Amino acid sequence: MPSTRDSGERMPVTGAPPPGSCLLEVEGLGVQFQTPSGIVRAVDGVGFCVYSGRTLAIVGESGSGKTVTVLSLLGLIPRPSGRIVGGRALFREADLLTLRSEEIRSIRGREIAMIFQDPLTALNPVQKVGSQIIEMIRAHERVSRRAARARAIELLRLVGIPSPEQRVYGYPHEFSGGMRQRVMIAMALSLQPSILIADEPSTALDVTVQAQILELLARLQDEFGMGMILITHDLGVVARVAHEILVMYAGRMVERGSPDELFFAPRHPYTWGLLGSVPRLDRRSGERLVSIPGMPPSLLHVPPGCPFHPRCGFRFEGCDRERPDLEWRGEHEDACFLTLEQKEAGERQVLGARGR
Amino acid sequence: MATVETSAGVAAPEVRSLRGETWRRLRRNRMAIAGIAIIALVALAAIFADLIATQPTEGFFADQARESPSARHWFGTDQLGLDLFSRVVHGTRISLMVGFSVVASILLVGIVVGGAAGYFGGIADTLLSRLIDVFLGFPFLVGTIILVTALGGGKMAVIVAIAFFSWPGIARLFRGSVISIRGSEYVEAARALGAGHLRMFFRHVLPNSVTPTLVYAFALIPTTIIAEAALSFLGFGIQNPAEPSWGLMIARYRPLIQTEPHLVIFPGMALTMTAMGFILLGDGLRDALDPRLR
Amino acid sequence: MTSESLVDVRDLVKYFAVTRGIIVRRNVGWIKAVDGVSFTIKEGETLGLVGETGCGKSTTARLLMRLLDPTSGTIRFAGQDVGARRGSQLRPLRRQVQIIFQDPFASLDPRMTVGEIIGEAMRIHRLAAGDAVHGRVQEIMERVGLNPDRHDRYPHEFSGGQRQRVGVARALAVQPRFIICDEPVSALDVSIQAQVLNLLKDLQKEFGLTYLFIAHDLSVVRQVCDRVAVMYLGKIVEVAARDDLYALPMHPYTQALLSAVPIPDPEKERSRKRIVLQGDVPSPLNPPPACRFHTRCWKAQQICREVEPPLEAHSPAGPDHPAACHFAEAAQVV
Repeated sequence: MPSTRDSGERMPVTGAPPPGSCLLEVEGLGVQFQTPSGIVRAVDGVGFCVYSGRTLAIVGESGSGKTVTVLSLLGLIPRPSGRIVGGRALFREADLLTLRSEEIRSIRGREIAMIFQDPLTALNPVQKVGSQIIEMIRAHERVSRRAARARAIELLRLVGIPSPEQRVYGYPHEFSGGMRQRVMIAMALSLQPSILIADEPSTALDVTVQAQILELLARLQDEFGMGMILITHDLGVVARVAHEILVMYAGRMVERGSPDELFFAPRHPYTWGLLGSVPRLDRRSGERLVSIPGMPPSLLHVPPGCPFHPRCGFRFEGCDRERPDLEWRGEHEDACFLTLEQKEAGERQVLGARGR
Repeated sequence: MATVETSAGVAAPEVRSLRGETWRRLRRNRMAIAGIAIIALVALAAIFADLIATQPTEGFFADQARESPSARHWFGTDQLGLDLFSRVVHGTRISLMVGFSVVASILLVGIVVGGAAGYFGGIADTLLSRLIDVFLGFPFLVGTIILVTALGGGKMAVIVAIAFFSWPGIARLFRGSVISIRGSEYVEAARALGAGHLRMFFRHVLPNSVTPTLVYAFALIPTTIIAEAALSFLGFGIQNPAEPSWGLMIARYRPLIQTEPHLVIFPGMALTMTAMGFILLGDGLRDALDPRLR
Repeated sequence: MTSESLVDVRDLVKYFAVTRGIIVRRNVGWIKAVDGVSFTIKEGETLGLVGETGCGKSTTARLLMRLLDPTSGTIRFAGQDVGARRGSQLRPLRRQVQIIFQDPFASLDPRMTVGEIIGEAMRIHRLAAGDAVHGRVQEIMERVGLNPDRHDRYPHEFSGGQRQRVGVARALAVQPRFIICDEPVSALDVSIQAQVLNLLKDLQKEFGLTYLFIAHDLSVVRQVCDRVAVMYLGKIVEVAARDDLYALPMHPYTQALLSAVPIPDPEKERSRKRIVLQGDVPSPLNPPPACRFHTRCWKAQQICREVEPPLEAHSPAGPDHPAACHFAEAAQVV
């Protein structure tokens, strides 16, 4: 168990590398799917670092490639239709993308665990939750059933399930949605992974339960110093828990930075659109919300140049030919050709004078 | 997970009708194509039986009794000197007629009963479902034998008897589909628009729930053909020697199996091939219509 | 516009029987989905109805829409009692009241073209016939931002946002006065959500529509509603004008709900006070007695377990902002 701990403060607003050690380094990841209608470029040139004790939020709409990105890291891309076409993902000196399936299996669950949006489909409905956790532990470690059961009870207690001694014998349908997600988290933590991937962990839950789950994840991260990848479409959740944010669109990275950078000085027109289109609890955005015209492109036909250009109000000549890469452009990393002045003006124009 | 994302990315520009998609998938299934070929062959034989099989199927021709297969009599002749090929070809008519009549009538009854039970629910459902259970609890062979005997035998009696004990499966399946579609939001939306029961059932519920029932009914055609043959073989179904039912032929020629095995083999093969053709196409249809099985 | 209310709901109750047994059905309990709900909606206004899973908001929508029969209580629409109407008596109501569903994939008949879906209501109510239907359908499609040339396409050929526009078009086809929006944007991506919310707002202005907007997302509700009612386990616990509710929520449940919603602003998130409720929402099969929130409430006293707090009473925030709590007190949580 890595002992790196920090108090959960957000990253400094500068571009300096965040503290903690880089557990997982992904570079130039590309994933494609062969479908009857053609090749789907689901992920194209994605890279990031996961640091211990920190949360990287990958934000995007459906079809942005955020889920495919993490599935490819765990060797969970459906084959043979899915194919990794480039990049590397270094974890403990091994490249996850080239490991054989039994090697990746020993890492999955043990070193890198994952929780999903819908815990009901991820749990076996005819097996007691305790047995599922015990099986998970015993698949990776040589421990007695009794010891594994004791640990399962401890884990259920850790994730806040009341009277775990009894609940360990319960079936998934006897748990409420929030409790089921807690069971999933307990399972994910059972082997003390160094990285936890959470794919929309609270999307299917009610807000009051969502708040509990987010709080739990933050507490566990604090306690164990896990690195976390949080996949979500909810910018509010991102603002609450992320240390670093990666915005994806049509399988590409469009902007990356700290929460303060992305929320208070966003530099990509797509990010402006996203921020403007989210209704806010703390104020009304006037009579109408900012909305991005059109819809995300089909990944069968990703527009040439900048994939966002057909929907972008700030496109100029060249946006439809040359593809902007995510790189340092003065303040933080974004993938837009506009000058810094144009971006500042554009942000003001789209988002107006938003109070801070 | 991954499929969700990719399909979301793919869905928009694809333009294909449901029917076209089904046909495309069916065409790619080699077994289904084989099934279609067999059925086409059998159907052609039935339609053009009088042109293909020109030799008499009844009468007594002592001069050519019990001949082995030859250029003149492809399948040989029986103890009455009747050309077996002609009899087998004419037998397709009986098999297909029984198969289609039974399935058509049980579809009608099954859809009415199952539809009423599923659509109206409540007390109607309770009563009709219990009725279905009673029928399903009856042993099929015993039931059909008793009924066909009571009706005095013959083609019509066979059709009625098999249909009488086959509709409950259809009704039960269709009831289930109706219940799931009836609860869907688009049916609720139609109700909210002020649609009456007739419109809701025929415009929304029926078209969306009938497919699995049709596929199932299709799969009952070979079962029915075999059931007719079995009844006739056992001496309860078609007993008029002039009617060349395959089951009846097999029964009649059974004593000769040691000396003239072809007399049993050819009608048996015709029966098996026909049934298999329908089974293959039925499987293909089910796969093509159910995208989850891909 | 008069101050006369278009929709007036009084003491609406809907219990669902829980039965066991196949042949002889025994009643083993009641799910109290909606248990004494009252509210009014003025012409041209948008009332938000918010709450978590199982609070009864969708059942309320279906009762108002008269897709369900109320167990008791009255529903008055434009002065007429429609709660007791049955069968064909409901037809005139169906022209005036429409509903937009949450799931744009489940709420459109997959075997009908969108033109047929939108035109169906006109045919049912004989608002247009023959070619006139066609023209009207294309007009409506244009109005909701769909390409009218695509009227002969099937729902599966449209994206989620476009399908939801088809749902809006279908509701508009009968030119209703009142539209119930049941979680109309919660299945959509954020950028598409904004498009649909803006569309609903524009249509309201253009046609003078009245909305009941049902949602679990309090941020969305703030954006589109004029007044907001908060439901918990079949009861309304607080009603207020939009800005009052968000600025000074009175009921502890409203406060917890608001404080649980993340705000897309990292600075605010860092400084916000957060109330994290314990446990899940209890089952509506056996809701807690008296105040239903007492099992999760940090303010609960003996009285909360014994006496049900009425919604109308002595609210400290005045008669326009009632809260059903013995210890109602404003707190800033947003």
